[in-house]
Amino acid sequence: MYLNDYLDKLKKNKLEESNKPWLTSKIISDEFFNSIFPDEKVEEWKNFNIKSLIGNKLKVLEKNKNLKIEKINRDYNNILFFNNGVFEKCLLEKKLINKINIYKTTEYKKKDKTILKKIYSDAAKYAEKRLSGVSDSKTTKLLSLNALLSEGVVIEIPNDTVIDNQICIYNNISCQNTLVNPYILIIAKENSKTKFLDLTSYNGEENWTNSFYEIYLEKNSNFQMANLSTNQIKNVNTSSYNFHLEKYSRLKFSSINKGNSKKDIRVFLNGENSKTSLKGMLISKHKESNDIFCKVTHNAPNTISNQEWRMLSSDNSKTSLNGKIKILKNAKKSTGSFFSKTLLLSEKAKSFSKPELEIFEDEVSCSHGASFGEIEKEKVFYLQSRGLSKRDAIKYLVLAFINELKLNDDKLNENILSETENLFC
Amino acid sequence: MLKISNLSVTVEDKLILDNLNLEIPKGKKVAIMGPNGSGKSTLSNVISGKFGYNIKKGNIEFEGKDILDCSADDRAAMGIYMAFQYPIEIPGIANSSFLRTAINSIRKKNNLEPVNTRSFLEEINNIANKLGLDKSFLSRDLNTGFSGGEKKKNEILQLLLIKPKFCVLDEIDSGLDIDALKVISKGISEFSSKTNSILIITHYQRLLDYIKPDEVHIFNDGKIIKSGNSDLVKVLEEKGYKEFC
Ligand SMILES: Nc1ncnc2c1ncn2[C@@H]1O[C@H](COP(=O)(O)OP(=O)(O)OP(=O)(O)O)[C@@H](O)[C@H]1O
Ligand SMILES: [Mg+2]
Repeated sequence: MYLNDYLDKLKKNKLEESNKPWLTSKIISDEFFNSIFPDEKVEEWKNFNIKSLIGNKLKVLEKNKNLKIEKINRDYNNILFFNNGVFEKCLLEKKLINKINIYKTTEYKKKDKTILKKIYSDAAKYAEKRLSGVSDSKTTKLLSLNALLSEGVVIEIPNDTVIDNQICIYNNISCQNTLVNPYILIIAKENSKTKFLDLTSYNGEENWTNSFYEIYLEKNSNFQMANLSTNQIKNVNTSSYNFHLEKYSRLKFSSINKGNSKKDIRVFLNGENSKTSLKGMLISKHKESNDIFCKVTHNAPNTISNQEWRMLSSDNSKTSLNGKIKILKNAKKSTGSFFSKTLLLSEKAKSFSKPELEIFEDEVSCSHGASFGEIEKEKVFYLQSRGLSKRDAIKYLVLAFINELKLNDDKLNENILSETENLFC
Repeated sequence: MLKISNLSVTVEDKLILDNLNLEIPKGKKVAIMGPNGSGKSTLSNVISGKFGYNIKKGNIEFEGKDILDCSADDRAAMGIYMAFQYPIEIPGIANSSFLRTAINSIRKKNNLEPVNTRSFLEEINNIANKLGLDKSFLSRDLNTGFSGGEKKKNEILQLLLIKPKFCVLDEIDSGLDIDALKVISKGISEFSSKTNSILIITHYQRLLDYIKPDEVHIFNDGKIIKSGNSDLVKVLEEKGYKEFC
């Protein structure tokens, strides 16, 4: 079924019972259907025109094709396997099998209401109302769409669970011309320690993946997530991440962003002494547009955030980054930083970076900076005079630029190497 | 080995090398001395193939082959090396990774296998040791944050590793303390042999006390105004360039 027809049907029938506990028929009003896509009037979306990137004849996912699991990349020892946004299978090493719980959202709601209650009863504080199905402002419509079209999954890491092995959330996209809506709520309970790789592997074309991740870190939990996609070239991705941090929790999030893609990342440092490090690489080529909106809200004293970004644009492409640090009253002794560097590889390539600070407390420290540059000819000559061809010299300098980011994740580093190669194809 | 004939070079319409003739025979060490701005670095850059210079006339032959149309990397592969007056800092590239990439690039162009990692590491450690460079310089980013003297030592380290047929040392001695000058001179002497040639550009007698040149040329306004043997250095030291210009 086509997306338009599906929405028309929904509009006529009204929503009876939704698979999301919080999604009510009130939201699915006429207004909702009138303009489902955010436009450039919305600040967070002004650099990314989703309408121009997705085809008109987009389908909604009806039934998932049965997939042969052997086809999954066996590079990963621990996999939570999703096929076209739908959770399919848990492939974990024996020792990890009982360490992670996975629920359908409806199931989870019956089991434990506390987290959902926290997030949804105080939505303004916890997520600026950026919750699927809670609000229907233009910025959150895609989240509501996500909620309408996907049941979603809750991944729960129990108290005191420590897992050293990286767990791969493997999103296999095998459909064509389809809107796919992964929804994942991760709850890292107290004192837990985990590492995830969030990988989207595109094996189909002309799809739009509209993902939503809600990640809740309880007291003293330690959570790492690396994010990457493969073969995204003929697909569009929009994704939203909400991270909620309770006191003494730690979040490290690193991502490689490429192709036509838009990420909206929000981190809420709600508990004192919570800390986050966000690192990312934006890579664009051909006519691609790659955009990130990243906002950290310091809601409690002694909270720390560091953002470090690198952008690489070639051909006619565009990268853009809007990084915000908001420090609320009472978030005393908090520190926030935002730094970005851009390397433009062609005269027609474009890049924007806009750090913004909103500070409502005096006793804080913030730093920010953004720089833009091109490959320096003097450096190229130095390398050439030592035997490297011009092309190799430029490639080497691009790698040097990326190395500064120190991503600390083998898979990401490997992927960056191959992406850099691709820039020179 | 290297023969420059009637070479005129301009930068932004300004004549910098003016009908220059210079030959550096195989197995010889040739020194060039000349006032600031006389065109010495320009000459080094033109020999090694830097961008931005207009060759108005003349040619440069290396082992009988005209090299002016060759890229800088092809010249490096042929055996031409320049120690930079101001070595370039490249953050994000580890020195040892750079050294290996450099040597392997040159080897590849000469249809040779890449170096064996272990013997390569042994060799660079050895050379670094000889030059009084701590091991940590190999893992640090290329020239980044190196002191002036350390940068120069790193240029000599590359010279000893790459072992070119011909090298230009553009003010390798400027900014060096007395001990560093000794160490670097030793490195150059170690490199020097009957089969390679060196062009030394310097302002000072001291380096030439350590490495006795076979020929000395005084350079001014983009051409050679006086040639002689190493005795010329003393005259110059006493009387300055006024005597010749
Ligand atoms: N890219 C350039 N643009 C303009 N002028 C240049 C450029 N490169 C060199 N020149 C000029 O050419 C002249 C020769 O410069 P060069 O660096 O070769 O001198 P040098 O003999 O090496 O001097 P020093 O002893 O100070 O190192 C100088 O007047 C310099 O300003
Ligand atoms: Mg000079």
